[in-house]
Amino acid sequence: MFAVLRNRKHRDIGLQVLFIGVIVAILASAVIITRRNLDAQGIAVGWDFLNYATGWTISFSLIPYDINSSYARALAVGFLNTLLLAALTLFLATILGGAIGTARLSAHRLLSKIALVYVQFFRNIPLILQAFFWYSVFTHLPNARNAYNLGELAYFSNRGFYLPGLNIERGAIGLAVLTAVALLIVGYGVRRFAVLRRNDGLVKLAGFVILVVAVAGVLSSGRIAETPLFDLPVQRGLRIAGGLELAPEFCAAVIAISLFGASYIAEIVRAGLLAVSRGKVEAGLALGLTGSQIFWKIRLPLAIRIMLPTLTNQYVWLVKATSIGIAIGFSDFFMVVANSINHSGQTLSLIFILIAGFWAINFSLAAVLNAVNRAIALRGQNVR
Amino acid sequence: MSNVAIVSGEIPPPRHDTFLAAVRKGYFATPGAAAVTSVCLALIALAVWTVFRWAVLDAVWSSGGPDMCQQATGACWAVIAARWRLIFFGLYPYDEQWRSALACAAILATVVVSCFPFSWSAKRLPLVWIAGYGVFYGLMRGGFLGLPTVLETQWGGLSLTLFVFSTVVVTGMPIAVCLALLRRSRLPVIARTVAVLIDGIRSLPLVAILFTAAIIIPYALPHFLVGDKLYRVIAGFSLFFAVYQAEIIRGGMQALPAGQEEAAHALGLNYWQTMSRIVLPQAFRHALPPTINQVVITFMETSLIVIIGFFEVMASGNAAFSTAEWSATYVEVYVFVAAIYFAFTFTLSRYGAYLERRLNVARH
Repeated sequence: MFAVLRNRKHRDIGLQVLFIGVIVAILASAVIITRRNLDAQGIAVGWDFLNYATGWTISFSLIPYDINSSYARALAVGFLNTLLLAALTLFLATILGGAIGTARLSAHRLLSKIALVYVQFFRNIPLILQAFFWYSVFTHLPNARNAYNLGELAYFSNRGFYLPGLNIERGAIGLAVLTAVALLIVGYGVRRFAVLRRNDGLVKLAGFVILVVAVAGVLSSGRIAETPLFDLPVQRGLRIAGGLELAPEFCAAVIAISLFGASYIAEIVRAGLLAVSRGKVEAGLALGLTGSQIFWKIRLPLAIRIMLPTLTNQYVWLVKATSIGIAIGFSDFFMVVANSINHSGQTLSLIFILIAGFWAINFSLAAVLNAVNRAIALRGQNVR
Repeated sequence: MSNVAIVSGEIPPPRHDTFLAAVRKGYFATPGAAAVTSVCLALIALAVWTVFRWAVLDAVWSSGGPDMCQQATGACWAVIAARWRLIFFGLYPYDEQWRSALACAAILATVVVSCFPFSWSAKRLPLVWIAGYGVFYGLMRGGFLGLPTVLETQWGGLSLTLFVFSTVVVTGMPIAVCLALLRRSRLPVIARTVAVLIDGIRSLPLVAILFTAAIIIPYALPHFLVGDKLYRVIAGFSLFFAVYQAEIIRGGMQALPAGQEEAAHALGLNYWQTMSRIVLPQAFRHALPPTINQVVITFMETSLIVIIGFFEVMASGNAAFSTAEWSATYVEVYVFVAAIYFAFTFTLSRYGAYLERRLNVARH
C-alpha cells in the first residue's frame, strides 16, 4: 500500500482523483439536498414550469408580454432587456470613454484636466449610488402637464422620456440591425479579395449604398400602415401620448452605467495611446502628416490593438454591471430570474438558467472580441 | 551669453518657461485652443457658481427644519444634521452608537497601519488585522464588561459597510492565494478544474452570487451549516473577491523569472518553502497595484448588498430621505453618501498610485 504511494506518479493520480471526487461529492450532495427540500415544499423540480403562466407583469419589454405569458417568455423578455441595455451602454461608454481618454492626453491643459476630473469623479463613486441618484432625479422631474420639452419634439417628465419614434414594427427594427451587422461582417470579409482592393474607394461606396438600401428596405417592410413615418410625442392633458417612451428606470440605468463605464474605458484608452511608441508618431510627422492624420491613421489603430484585450475584460464587466437594474426596478435578466424564483420556487432550474444566460452572453462577447483581436493583430516584431 | 556656452561646448542649462509662457503654451497655443479655453472656462465658471449658490449661499444649514427647506431654493443640509446618525450607524441602538463609531475608527486605523511599509511582513500584517478585527467585532457585538449584546441584525450604516468590506478582504485573500496556487498546479486535472471554476464565477454578476448566497444556499445546505444570512452573503462575496484576486496573484507569479523557482528547487527547498519564501512574496510585490485597485472596487461593490436587503450606508442613505418631510432632499443625501465613498476610494487609489511609483523606483 505505502509502496504505491511512494511513487510520485501514483501519488499524483491519487490526488487528482481525490480532488475530483470531493468536488463531485459536494455538488451531488447540494443537488440532492435541494431536491429534497423542494420536494418537502411540494415543488416538483423540472422544466415544466417554463410553460406555466407567470401571473405578474414586466414594466419594460421588447416583445409582447402580459400576465398570461409563460415563464419561458418572461425569461426571454429579461434576456433581451439585458442585451439591449448592454449593447446601448457599451456603445455609449466606448464613445464617451474614447473621447475622454483622448482628452486626457490632449496638449490643451484645460481639456486634459477636465477629463482627469471626470475620470476621478465617476470611478470613485459606486455604480449603484449613481444609478439611485439618476433614478431619483428622473422620477422627480415635473409631471406630464408641466414636462420639460425640447422644441415640441421630446418631453422629459417624471413618467419617463418621450422621444420622437418611428412608426415601424419592432421586429423590423431588430431585423434591420441584424441585417446591418451581417452586411458589415460580409463586407469586411469580401474586402480581402485583391480585385476589390484595387478599387477600394468604389467598393466602399458600393458597400455603403447596398447597406443603406437593404436597411431601408427592411425598415419600410415593417411600416405600420396609414401612419406618418415619424411618431412624435404629443402632450394631451395629464399624459403624453405617442413617440418613443423610455421609462425612468431604463434611462437611469443607461446613463449611470454609461457614465461609470466611460471613466474606466477612458483610462484604458489613455494607457493604450500612451503605449504607442513615440517613433511611430515621429515617423508620421516626418512624412508630413497632419496632427489629425497621425491620430486617426497611426496612433489610434495601433492603440486599439494594444488595448483590445483589456477592453474585452472591461466589456464583460460592464455587461455584468447591467444587473444593478434590479435596484431601480429595471426588468433585466437577473431581475426576471429573481422574480421567477420568488413566485415559482424553481430554485435549481432557474439558477441553472441564470448561470447559462450570463455565460452565453459573456463567453460569446469574449469570443467575438478575441476573434477580432486575432484578425487585426499585426504580424512581426516591433509593431507598436 | 548663450552663444559663448555653445562655442565652449558646455550644455546650456535647461530653459524653464516663465509662468505666462507656460499658460500661453498650455491654454492659448492656437486660436482654436484659445476658443476652447474660453468656452470651457465660461462653462466651468457657470457650473461652479451654480453649485456654490446651491450648496452654500441658498442652503439651509443645521438650524432649519423641513419647513424651512421647502421655501429655500438651495441645498437642505438640515437633513444631514437630522439624519447623520441613521446614515452612519443604521438601526444600532442609540445609546450604544459610540461603540459603533469606535469600531469604525478601529478598522480605519487597521487599514492605515497596514498601509505603512513596516507592517508588510507575513507575520505583522495578519497580526495587525486580527487585532483590529477583534477590536471591531468585540465593540460591535458586545456582551462583556457590561456592554449589552447587539446582534448582527441590528448593525447598519457605515459600520456594516466596513464590516462586510474588511471581512471580505481578510477572508478572501487566503482563498485567493489557494486558488492561484491550485490554478498553477503541476497536476493538470486540478489546474483545469480550478481554471473553469475561476472563469465561471468571474463571468457571473456579483449581485447574482450575493442573491444565491442569501436565498438559494439555504436550500442546498444541511440545516446545521446554513448559518446567518449576513455571513452567507459575506462568504459568497469573499469567493467572488477571491477569484478576481487569484487572477491578480497569478499574474504576479507569471511576472517572476522562472529562474527564481528553479533556484529554490536547486537549493533543496520543498514546494511549500518555495512558495511561501520565494514565489509568493515576490508575486505580491508585483501584484500590489492591481490588488489595491481590486480592494477599491470591492469597497464600492459592498454597496450592492443593499439589493439583498441589508441596511448598509447606501440603504440607510435611501432611508434617510424616505420619510415624507425629507422626501425632496435626495440630492443632499446622495451627495453626502457619495462623499463618504469618495473619501475612501480616492485616498486608497492615490495610495495605490504612490506605491506604484515607489515600486518603479525600486526596480530601476
